[in-house]
Amino acid sequence: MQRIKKKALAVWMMCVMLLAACSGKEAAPSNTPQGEPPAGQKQITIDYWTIPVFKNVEGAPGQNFGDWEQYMLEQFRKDHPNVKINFQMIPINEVEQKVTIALAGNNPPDILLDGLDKRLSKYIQFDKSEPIDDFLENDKEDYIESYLKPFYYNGKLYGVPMSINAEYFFLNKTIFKNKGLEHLIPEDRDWTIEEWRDAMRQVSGDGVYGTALFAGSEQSDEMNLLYLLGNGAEQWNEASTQVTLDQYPEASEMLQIFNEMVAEGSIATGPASLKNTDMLELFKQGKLAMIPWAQSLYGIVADGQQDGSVVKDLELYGMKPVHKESVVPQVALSYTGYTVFKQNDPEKREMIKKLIQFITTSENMKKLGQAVTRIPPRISSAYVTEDPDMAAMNEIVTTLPMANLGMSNPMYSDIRVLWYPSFQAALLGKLTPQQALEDYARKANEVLKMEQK
Amino acid sequence: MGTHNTAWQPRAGTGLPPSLSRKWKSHLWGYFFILPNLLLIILFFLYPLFEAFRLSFTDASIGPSSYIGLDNYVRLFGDETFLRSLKNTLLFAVIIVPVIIVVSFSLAALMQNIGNGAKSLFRILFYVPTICTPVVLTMVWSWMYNTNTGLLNYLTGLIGFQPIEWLGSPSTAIAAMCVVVISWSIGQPLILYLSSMDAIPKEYYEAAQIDGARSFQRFRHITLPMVAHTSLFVIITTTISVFQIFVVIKLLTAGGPFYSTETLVYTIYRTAFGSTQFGLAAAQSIVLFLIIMVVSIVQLRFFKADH
Repeated sequence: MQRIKKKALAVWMMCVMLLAACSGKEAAPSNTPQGEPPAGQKQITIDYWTIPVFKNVEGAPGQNFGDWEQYMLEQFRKDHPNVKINFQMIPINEVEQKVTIALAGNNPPDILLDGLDKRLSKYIQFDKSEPIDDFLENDKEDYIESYLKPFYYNGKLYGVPMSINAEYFFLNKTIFKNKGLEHLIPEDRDWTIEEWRDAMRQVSGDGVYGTALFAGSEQSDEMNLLYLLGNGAEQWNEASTQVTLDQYPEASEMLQIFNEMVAEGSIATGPASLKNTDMLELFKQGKLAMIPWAQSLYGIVADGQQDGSVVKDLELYGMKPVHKESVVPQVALSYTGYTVFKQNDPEKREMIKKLIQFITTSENMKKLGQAVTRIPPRISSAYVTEDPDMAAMNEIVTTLPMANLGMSNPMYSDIRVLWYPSFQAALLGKLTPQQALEDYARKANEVLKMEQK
Repeated sequence: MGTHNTAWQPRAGTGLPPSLSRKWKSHLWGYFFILPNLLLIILFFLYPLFEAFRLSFTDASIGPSSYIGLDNYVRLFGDETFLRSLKNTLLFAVIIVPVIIVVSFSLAALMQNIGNGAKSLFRILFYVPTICTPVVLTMVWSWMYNTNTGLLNYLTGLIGFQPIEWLGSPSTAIAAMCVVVISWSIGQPLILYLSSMDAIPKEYYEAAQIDGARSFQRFRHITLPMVAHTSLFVIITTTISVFQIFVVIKLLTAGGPFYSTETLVYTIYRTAFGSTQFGLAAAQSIVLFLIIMVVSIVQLRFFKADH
């Protein structure tokens, strides 16, 4: 009996030790040294979450995602030894889920670098974001006003943009040259929808498609919608409170054109299940003559031609989004930037402010813009790109109006996921184009109505 | 059997009769051993279950929440997306569960007639997908199913077929998903059936053979009844896991095309983490829980009574 008791005690202790080993807060990766704060100074801990955006940044100790940011945090820490910064990088497709869970558990990060245009309005709606007008008190005039505007709500600033990614269209010039169709490429980088359709038809064949559509996931809204907007439709009303796509015959007309182009082989087979990464892969392999993408494609292609993931002879040629003759083409912009979640400690807030100001200097924004071929939001950060094509497109983009994709609406992320099923239905013939648009608009406006209640 | 004095006599110092005292002591040690697991079950199963049940009566989101009674449940049964997800989930269960049972049982039966070395080899081959990460397996299948660059369309193209949109049309997408799930789900039932069949005494077959029973009769009257318990277990556990399909939906089709592959768990995921409507997602989870419970009880009663 004594032996059994001893064995039982041993088993119990093992279980307790196992539980203790499995429990406890998982230490977030931190690159900041854990030294003692100087005497008299309060230890401040800042949780910094980011997504993989910036790499190959000049001056960074490494060329991977996050290296430059960790380096900057370390430099900040040297000047502020009482600050501990917990750095965490989250995959882009997980950030919404992770931040949502953190907010629901009242445990959000202090600073978040994310695609603010997509999610910031929701954080503000639930009063989770901290107004940070004072963060730009010294250099607000240096910011391009239109790039700050999306982050103002009720007169207060809730985000600081770090880089802007303009979305337009790109040709693979080499495919046109190889097929003797270089004459189809416009010097003014401008195609009407008829010219585009004709070019796509001529360039398709022998394993090459004109272009591709992707309706396989929620990302299918931005770039595919540019076609509908180019044909004269509008997705939202001016106040971004109602989805109006079904009210424009131009939208169903464009969907019908898509179906016809898929049938004739100008658009790659299987758009209903294609994802944006699949489309990009086809383009990188030289199987698509044209692709709608963000201007970061310049960097993707340059890097890819070095590591072999992009065909060597791919020559990019930027184009305005295709449009009807009477319609001015619009560009979409996506923003990456910082937001700060609600702070109760004034001292900590002040330290966060210093950290953001330390990172968002003109010089840093210039370096980041050059590294990932994006537009910096500060006037003094403007850089001259070595790529003449990108330089030409940067000039063009500033002259084009911005597409209203409803990103300022707090329900944007809920509305976004409603587009691709309707788009699939139209592409598969399950619904007519007009029925698909009505299905989408009805569901979207129901969501908006519930939220407004 | 001798008689003994049954008059109650307390054991010195305890106030309990000796037999009860011994019984309590043995029970005590039993509870002591299961206590760690019990705590884990309470912490990671019962508490979340009750919390989900509580949340389902609120409009919980990432902001403050308030009690809204049965509104979430009422909304569910008028929600076409939820009802469609329920239909899709039941469709997957009706297709996948019988196929897994039949295929794993058939493979186990066939493997009875091969040597031990070959049996071990096939056991490993069929079980390897079970221990692989579903995410990795799904990614491999997504490359195979790709309309333009996938292996399957390459192979069908060699024999003259046009590219097939495996995941692009509702009927092929459902079939494609079923193939993926079945491919990694037959391993465990197969192992269980093999063990169960190996445990059937050889004498039963020998006796039946002597009595003139043919191979089909021996299979029907000996093998099938003797593995009935295993079948019951496999049916219930496979049904539960099919009802909880998520990874393959998330990575392959995102519920499309046009909601044709959206299952209940995927809808719950979208409601909670896309729309941040935790209260509604909790209500959906409770409904799923009740459905699984009812289906399991029905299966248990039906197959047990049948046995």
